[in-house]
Amino acid sequence: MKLSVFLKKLKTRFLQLFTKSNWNLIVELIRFEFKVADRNSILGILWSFLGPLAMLTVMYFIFRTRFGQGIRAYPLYLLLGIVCVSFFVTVTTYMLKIFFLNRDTVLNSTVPRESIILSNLSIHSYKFIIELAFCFLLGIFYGLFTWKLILLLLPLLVAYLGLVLGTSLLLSLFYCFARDIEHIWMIASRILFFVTPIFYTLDRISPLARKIVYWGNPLTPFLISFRQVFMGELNLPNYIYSLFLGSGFFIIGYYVFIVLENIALERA
Amino acid sequence: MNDFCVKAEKLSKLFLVFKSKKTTLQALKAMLSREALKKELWALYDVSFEIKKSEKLALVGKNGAGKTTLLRILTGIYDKTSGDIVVKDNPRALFRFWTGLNRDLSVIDNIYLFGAMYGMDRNFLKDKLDDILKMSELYHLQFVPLNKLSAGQAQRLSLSIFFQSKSNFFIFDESLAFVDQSFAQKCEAYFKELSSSDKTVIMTSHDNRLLRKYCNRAIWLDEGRISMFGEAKRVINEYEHSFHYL
Repeated sequence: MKLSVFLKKLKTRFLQLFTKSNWNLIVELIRFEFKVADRNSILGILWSFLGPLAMLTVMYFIFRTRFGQGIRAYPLYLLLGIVCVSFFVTVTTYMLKIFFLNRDTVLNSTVPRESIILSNLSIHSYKFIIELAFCFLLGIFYGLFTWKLILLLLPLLVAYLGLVLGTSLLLSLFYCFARDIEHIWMIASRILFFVTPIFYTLDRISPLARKIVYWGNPLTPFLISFRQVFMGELNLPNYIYSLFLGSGFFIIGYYVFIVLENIALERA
Repeated sequence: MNDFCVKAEKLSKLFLVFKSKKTTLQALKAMLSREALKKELWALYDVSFEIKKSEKLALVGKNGAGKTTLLRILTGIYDKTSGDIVVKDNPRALFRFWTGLNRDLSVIDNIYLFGAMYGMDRNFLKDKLDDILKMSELYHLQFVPLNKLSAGQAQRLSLSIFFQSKSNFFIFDESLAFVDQSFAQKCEAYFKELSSSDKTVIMTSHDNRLLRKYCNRAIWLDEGRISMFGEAKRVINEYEHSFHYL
């Protein structure tokens, strides 16, 4: 696609997206997402705590002596890893089929596709923020909380959403062409739990593995930044690298989405 | 004066229809044996027309003639493959009545959700709530989830909401198929009012009586090409006569 065509398309999209009626639509879609999210569930939003808590308990008892030695506030360290990686995996897996499941809406209405994506992301983001609030309380409990660092959380959260959205867009488009993506992503998600430093620190692994885990896995810099923000110490270059990564993934994902969306949706 | 609402020149739309292969291995095998895996399907070919503002246009043609594809290009849902199209007004299109309705939500919630999809906000809909519920005859079922309603009731609901939306350009794609007689009368009242307004309307329907009554111009599409374009009654008559030669 020529740059001029792309920019024209982008302008049309933005004009459509930032209208009062579209924001009204997004609000209604989000309202509906929240209404049906925990339908027929007995514990409802409590599952947001119970899932990570169960994982935390199991991982803490298994890994605390082998990997947890010398790590300050290891339960918080573990919980942040579980929460961040689970959010990434849950959203990307869910969004993988977004166009396929919403095929009827995207092909039979003029609703901006971004509005559907945003509304679907809302409920997961809400649960993620609740889980992070729990981490925040744990940070206070361990005496690690600092206001100065918590101010850096917002840009980091936005960048992380950019990473999640960018990856989700790419996956959902590729899924329209090949259903194999679902299987590949299922395997990749399982591997992610081990190639992301959820229960170990980078200095516990070999130099080669460290390079691969840091430079080959975009979740690692984010996880390090989240931990630094919540646990009171900051490595600025890593934090800035995370912001670049999130923006980069989002820009690439959105660009590919604009270029391929119609071809992909015709095949969904 | 250029008072057109839609102008299309040599508009074409190509779909690549891929032959279904169950696995990648089967697809590879087919590729090695030089079996064609895709087929070209021109849903629209060299279509040129102009719709003036406030015109009421009927789009007729057999199933698969390209009517819905043309409407989807008009609304920006599909990209054209070649040619040019200019759409001056933002169309408000109703393709399938169930698109935008949610089975798990109540009738009231669906009014707000479906209404938002067609540019109506909560305050506007709150004022119109009584009208919508009365027209759809669902007053007594307003808190019932949609999955407890019949398909006909859901259609009544979606049409009653859609009829409240404001626009200068409306598109109806087979929207009145399956409505019962009593509701059809209410729909006719709406179309009667619409036909005398200055709004631009494009309608597809297999009910030619309805098209004759409310449209002044028509396009007959046949296998993606324009067979005839002109005064509605004449085009629809010719289209109907074509059945007798089959």
